[in-house]
Amino acid sequence: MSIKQLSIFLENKSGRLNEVLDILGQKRINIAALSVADTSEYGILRLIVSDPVEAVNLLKDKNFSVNLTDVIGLETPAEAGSLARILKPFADAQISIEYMYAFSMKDKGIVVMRTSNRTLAFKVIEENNLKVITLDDIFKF
Amino acid sequence: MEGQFWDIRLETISREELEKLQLYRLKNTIQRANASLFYRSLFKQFQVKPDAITKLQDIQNLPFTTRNDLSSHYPFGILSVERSEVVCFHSNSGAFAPKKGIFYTKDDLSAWSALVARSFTTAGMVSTDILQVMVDFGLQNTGHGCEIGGEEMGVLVIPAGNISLHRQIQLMKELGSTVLYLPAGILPSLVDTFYDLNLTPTLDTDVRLIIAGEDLLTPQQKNKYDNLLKIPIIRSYGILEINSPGMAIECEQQDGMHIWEDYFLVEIIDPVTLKPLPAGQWGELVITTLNQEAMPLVRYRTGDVTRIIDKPCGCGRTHQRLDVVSQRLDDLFFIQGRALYPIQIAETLKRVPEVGDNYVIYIDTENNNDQLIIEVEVVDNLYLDNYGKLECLTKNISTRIFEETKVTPRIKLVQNNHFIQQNIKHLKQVVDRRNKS
Repeated sequence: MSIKQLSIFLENKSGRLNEVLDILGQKRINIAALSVADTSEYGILRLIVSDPVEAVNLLKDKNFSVNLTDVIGLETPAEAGSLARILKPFADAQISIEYMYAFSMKDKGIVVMRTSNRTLAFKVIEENNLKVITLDDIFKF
Repeated sequence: MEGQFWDIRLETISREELEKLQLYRLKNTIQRANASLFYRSLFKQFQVKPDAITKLQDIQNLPFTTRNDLSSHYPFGILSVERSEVVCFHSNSGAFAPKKGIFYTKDDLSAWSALVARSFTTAGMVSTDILQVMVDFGLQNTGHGCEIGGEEMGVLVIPAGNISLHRQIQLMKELGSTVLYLPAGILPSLVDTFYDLNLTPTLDTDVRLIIAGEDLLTPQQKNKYDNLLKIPIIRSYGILEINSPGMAIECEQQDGMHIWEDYFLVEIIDPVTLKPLPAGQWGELVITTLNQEAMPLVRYRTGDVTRIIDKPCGCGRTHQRLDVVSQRLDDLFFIQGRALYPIQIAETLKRVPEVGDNYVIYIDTENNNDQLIIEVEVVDNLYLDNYGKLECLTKNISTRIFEETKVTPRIKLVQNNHFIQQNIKHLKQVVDRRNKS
């Protein structure tokens, strides 16, 4: 049910992001979602790509510090208030969101998030009938 | 001749008499040193006959003592008296620094306090002064030396170790301190703290003299802080393994530090050829103690680069002057007034499994203050998951480095293999990028 996300440690130096994107681009690996936050010294680049395992190997070969993390993908209708509606059950169950990023296209919104207590998170998803999406779904958009 | 003397006879002794005294004491020192395990075997190895010294120049036939000798024979190997005769011990504080220890007999302590009194008097301190000693008291000897020297002079000594600069300034105001002893490296923060508190040293305190030790203080820095604080700064020289303070100090002429030659035989050598250099040339300072009982040192290589100013001084003292220490030959460095060895950082990092053994140490000037920056590789990829873990990791490393060195570093995490990949030339080295003016 989870999506494999790439987490890449990036030094805060110009050109580092480009290096990663070039390596993936040359092997025709598609990027569906990307998030990078900055701190003063370093950043963590988070990517959802078409072939995560291959991407990890390619980056490791180039000496990048990278790993795969399980994250949850949820689909919401792209309408006002929908994100609040799907996140509320998590808050009610005392599950904290470590980080998330979201985007919407046409009539759909997609939320990618990493939560504490994943087992409980999936229980909440089931009980509230939330729509989980997989990597395949994302690339079928 | 102006200014004050502590012991006018010895401070203005003629060179001829001084050299006579030195020779007499040198002979004794070699005999005494020969009682320690270390020197007995060293003298044997170099076929030194302790009674073969007939003139001062004969010292050049003796072997050197190095910092490594001190560490490898720590703690008792260089002790020249029975253990029951020593009354005091000092050493450096880091767990991973090369160990240096020094013992004192009762006579050593009283000689030391007289030398500190002589030094502080030379700097311009008088018995009615109030001396605030702004160094850590404890294992290191500086605090102890200032305390006994100040007491010897009859001044009020405030042992203000391990407290914030804000509290230091409070104490100055509360007690009316007139003289500060401090490591030169904290001058920038002291200036900043006065500024933050909106206080002017000359108006809001009675401080009239600053004695700065430990750290190198370039002529430009000295000028700068003289001007900022509007209080004269006197340089003091001393080392942990002998006396600190109480070896050399500037007089009111502020043109070089008089080294007390009745207690220390001075040589300047070429650190490569190890040959003595004529007066006036820059080289490594080598000291033979002339009056230490517990732990005499013979031709000890200090690692400090300086030169002898070979001109009579206007103050009337006949003891030669050392110029500013311009650099150190070993890897010891000073930051924020504290002495550090890179190995202390290496050993600390080795004990953090999430990072690699490679590192680069940068010392920068940030907002006028020394900043220690350590770049280290994250090797455990599990840490890449979130910022919280990485922040915890940097905090953890920073705390451990502080525990070891008492300096708070900024930890800069870099990716695995970064140093090799970027072909970093200063691997495991210190890059000093400080503004020295």
